[in-house]
Amino acid sequence: MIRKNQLLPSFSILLLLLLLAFLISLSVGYANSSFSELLDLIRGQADSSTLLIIGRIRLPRIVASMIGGASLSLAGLLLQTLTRNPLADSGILGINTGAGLVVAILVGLSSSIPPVFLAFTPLFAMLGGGLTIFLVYWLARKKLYGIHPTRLIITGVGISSMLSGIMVSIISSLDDFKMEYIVQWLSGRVNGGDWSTLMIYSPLLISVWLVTFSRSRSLNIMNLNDQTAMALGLHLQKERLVTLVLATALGALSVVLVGNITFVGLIAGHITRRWLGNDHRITIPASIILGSLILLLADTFGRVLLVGTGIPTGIIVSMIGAPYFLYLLKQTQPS
Amino acid sequence: MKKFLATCSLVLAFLWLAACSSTQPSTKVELSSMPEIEGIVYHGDIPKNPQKVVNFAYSYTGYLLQLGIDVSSYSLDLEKDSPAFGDQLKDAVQLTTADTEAIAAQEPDVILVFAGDDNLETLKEIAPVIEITYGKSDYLEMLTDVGQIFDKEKEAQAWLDQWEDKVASAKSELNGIIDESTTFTVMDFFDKNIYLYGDNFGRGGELVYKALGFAAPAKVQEDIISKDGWFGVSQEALPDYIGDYALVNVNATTKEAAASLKESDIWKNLPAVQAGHVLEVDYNLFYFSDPMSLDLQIEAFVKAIKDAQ
Amino acid sequence: MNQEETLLSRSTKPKQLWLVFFSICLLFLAGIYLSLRFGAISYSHNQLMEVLQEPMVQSAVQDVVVDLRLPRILAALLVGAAMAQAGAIMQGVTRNAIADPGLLGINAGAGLALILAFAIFGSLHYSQILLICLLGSFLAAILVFSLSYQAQKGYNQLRLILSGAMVASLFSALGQAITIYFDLSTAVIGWQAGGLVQVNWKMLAMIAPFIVLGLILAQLFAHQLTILSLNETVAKNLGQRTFLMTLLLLGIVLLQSAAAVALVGSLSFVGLIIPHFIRMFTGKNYRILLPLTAFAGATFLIWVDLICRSINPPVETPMSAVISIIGLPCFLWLIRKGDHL
Repeated sequence: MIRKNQLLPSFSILLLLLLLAFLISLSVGYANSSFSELLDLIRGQADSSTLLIIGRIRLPRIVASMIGGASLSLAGLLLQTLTRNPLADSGILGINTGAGLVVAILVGLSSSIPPVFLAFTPLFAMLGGGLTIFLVYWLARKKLYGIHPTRLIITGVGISSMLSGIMVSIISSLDDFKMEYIVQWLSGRVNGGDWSTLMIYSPLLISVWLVTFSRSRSLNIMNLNDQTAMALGLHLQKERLVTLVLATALGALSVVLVGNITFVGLIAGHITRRWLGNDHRITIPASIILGSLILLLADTFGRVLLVGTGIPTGIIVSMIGAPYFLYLLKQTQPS
Repeated sequence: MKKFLATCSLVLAFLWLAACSSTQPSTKVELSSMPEIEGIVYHGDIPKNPQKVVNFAYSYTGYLLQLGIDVSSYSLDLEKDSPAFGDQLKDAVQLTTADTEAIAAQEPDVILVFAGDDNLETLKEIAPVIEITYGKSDYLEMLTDVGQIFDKEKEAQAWLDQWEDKVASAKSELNGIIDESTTFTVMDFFDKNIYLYGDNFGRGGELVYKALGFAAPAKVQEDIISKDGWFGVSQEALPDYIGDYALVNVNATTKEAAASLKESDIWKNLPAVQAGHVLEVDYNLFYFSDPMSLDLQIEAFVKAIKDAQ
Repeated sequence: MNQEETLLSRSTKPKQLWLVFFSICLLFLAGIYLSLRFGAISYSHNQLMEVLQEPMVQSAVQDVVVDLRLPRILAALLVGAAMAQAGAIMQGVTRNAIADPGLLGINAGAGLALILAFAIFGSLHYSQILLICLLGSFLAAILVFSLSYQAQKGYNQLRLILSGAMVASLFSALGQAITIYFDLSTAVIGWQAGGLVQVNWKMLAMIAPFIVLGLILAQLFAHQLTILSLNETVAKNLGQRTFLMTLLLLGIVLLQSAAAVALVGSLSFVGLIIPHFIRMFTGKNYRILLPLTAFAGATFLIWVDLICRSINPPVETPMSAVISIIGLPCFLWLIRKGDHL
């Protein structure tokens, strides 16, 4: 548990780190700008190519990774509360892959369907994510024992990999050209990097953040065991459903923004709760900041060191996330 | 929280305004005539003499270089590995169409891409773009096309003339060695697959079928040349597709790819194999069909035929 | 399914079982016959009989049927049997319906090893590919085993699955990164798409012993598996040394699936779905379930291979595409029968 007077410094550190990361990320890249060039930019005196690079290319990508990272991390936090298990995450449970499958099909067919459909991409993404989590949930339940969180995770992983496999095989026969794009995106390339996509998705995601924050109290109660929760007047089933919907929305929409990136929710959620306890009023904002930070750093790393190789950000996150998951596994008691 | 949001939005607002503010006027640049050619779409004003070219349409690197247009980036490793023009790419940088930042950093005068590229919109914002649909112009027409776009028609014609001479002399050399009606099959192997090619997908197809005018076995003509131009074939059906000579493209990674096939009876019983008429050529050289590669390919080909006698 | 139906199904099991067995037999024999006759080239019945009667005589037909198709059909048989049975054992040992040998990191391990080998050595002969895949699978599985072992508590099935899933994710991420970096995608794509293209007698000879050994061992320990699959405490009380048995059975899974994956490439679904399908008829008696699953798996893969070869002659359709297209509806159908999970 964290003490009240530790809150302010902790948050300040987080915010400071985020701001720092933001500024650094803005100034590094293939074409390294320095801080002075940044200042020139703000004064409106920079040359057109620096403007282009920073304003049109880097900035949207940075903002996308921040918002995407924040949302994925929040989704993870919610799922961890929901399943009472630290090993949950929107990617692990298959939401990301499900949303991804639907979006990939849309992209694959984008040349042959009316553009109207494309306008509904957020809806379709959520539908895909929703269907998948529903499937996972349904498969994982055992008649007599109810939901077993670890079963949920295993089922999620299984369904996730199955869906990606199917996606790759089917899409490759649909449109070979798009194939590479989809495979790359499956691995988590941060590509919501243009202002128009950001304009649509950021308000959506930010509003979900706010809605989630407003439910902190109910979420805190969900942390307790079922009987106590119900005794405290919580409609457990309804609350669970709402939380699931929120998590799915966050995961699915992030997927459109940053591609299929797993593990952010896992890592951010776990660190947040380890450090700041279980009070959602604190952990929600904290995980938002932490998630931003993590994905921003990963993406900057990828952007700077891996140009031309085409290695997507998601792979970097997986390479950190998977061992982290294993480390967590060693820590937790088998449930 | 509020303070952070406020500061953040302030910074963002500044940057946003800065990004949106008008750019400085550019110096006058001579524009290309942008002739209407089937398969080529222009986005923006294409300069006549671009100094910095970012090229993603890897099939055409050789064309650009032949006409003296320098290329500052490449997208396929094969470009760098090409014995024909790889060394001209020594200082070139490897990029994909999604590396927006790096592309912008190159400050290109023009960008070339294949049609249907997903990042076209973003690329259009960086520089004028030429979008090329593969295969609309054949391998020789392409040179004329590029020449017309960049005002290098004379150079293009010069190469075409010397190419005609080269082809004629190669033909007469070969006439003494092999019959005019010899059939060739162009192929390569890739992990578990056998691919056959027609006359417009590189790997020597243009050279053998179009330039030198040799025929393909009937089945190849039917199923490949008249259709997609290439396909993967099953081992079982292979004998139907192999003519008198087989032109096999190999390189370091695919050397052992078809080991299983080569050890099988079905391969060993092929007339071409038994007569020793399997020509192994360098994949890196024969992959493309641009002028620079063709110049070297024709020599390599004649040599390979001679060695196989 | 309610209690009544469960009771009813128990009582009609033997009849159903024989029905299933005969259907599979028929499909099996039909599959083999059709696979020998058809493919990129079709032969007549007489041509086929001629060749089979004198298999050593060289002829054009023999080149295809005996040298190419026969080893391929046998490979399909063995690989299908191995994968299906490995899946069944895996599900029994972990007591989890969604378990699949891929969760031991086998596919990912083989894939990563192969990619590394291509990156370092460039070109590989098929015998080298087989060995490297086997090595990769074994190493990955050992990693997964050791990660899920807790000093005092011994094995926990759930930790095994979770570790396996994560190791698989890690290895495939690493594999992808290396593939992209070294531009190897064209080299490994064949293996990843899966398929029995260009399988010959030599490859079969290298792999078959592993699979046959695995099949025999599995049958020997089938009864132990039945006990283990019920419940850890019950098993222990019945005197079984669960830790050792788990290790042994997982070893058999490793043997079979690593060999299968080395030969056919990265395939999933087979180990997942076929056991479920058979379990509907046999219940959890592994002495019957295992051989029947193997048989069904073999038949399945023979037919899939036939489809791969004949759907678009003379092009070979990648196996993973065909299996996905068949697998998805099967999977959905199985979900509808959900309570058996």
